[in-house]
Amino acid sequence: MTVANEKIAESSSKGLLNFRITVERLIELLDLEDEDEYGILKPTEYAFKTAMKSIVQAYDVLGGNFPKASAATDDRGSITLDWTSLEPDRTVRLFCPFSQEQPVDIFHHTEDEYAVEDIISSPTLVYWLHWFNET
Amino acid sequence: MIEPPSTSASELEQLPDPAIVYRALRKGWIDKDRSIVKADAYYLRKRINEQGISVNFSIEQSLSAIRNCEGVASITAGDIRSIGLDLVRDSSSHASIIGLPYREDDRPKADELALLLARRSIIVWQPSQP
Repeated sequence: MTVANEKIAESSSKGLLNFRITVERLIELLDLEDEDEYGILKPTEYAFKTAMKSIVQAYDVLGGNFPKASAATDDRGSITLDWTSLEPDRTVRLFCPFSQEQPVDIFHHTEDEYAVEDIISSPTLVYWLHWFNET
Repeated sequence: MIEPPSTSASELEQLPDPAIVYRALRKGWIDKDRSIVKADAYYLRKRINEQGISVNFSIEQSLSAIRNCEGVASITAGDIRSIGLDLVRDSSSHASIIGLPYREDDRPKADELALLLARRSIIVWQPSQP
């Protein structure tokens, strides 16, 4: 195997590992108690399906460049997936609402700017994860 | 979660910048890859008309706020004010971070302020691992 091939294999395996960790973190949310003092803990079926569909579509495009995310629910069962870098300071947050009455959106942040964008097609998350990877 | 007692604005006491307050962290509010607090810890809940982020004056008080608490974070009044928010005491054991919008009303600002609060927070207690 050439050095170039080794690097491709290493990158591909890292992206797969990151994807698997992200999926496992999403699945772990389903094992949470239904609620705690703050509100709902377990995600709704709509939020879970939306999050899972979004990351599968992103992994299909990004493959070895898929970054690892952390997952959490809000008090109504919506899911947020966070991609965080401290140096440089970059964050991408995918919000998957508890019901279809709210939009799926992406927040991005750097030291100098921030914005929220509704997701109207799957390339939106891919675009922001490409941006996140430019570190 | 311990909710703040109803108190009129004139009764709220300003806290000095060095004052430290503690926020109970529920499951999912800690980024375990980096051991940092996530923005999720600092959103107002519109569902219950929440007016401020609930914080306490000791780790022990925060631990009683959420069962199966995943951690406790500290933040100073000065750090809260440095991003345009405020911290007021509303009882002997409880204070509120005020000035945040609901995410339902202003998504970019709510997301940004929650993230900035998280970045200024320090995890000061976590349950010991089995």
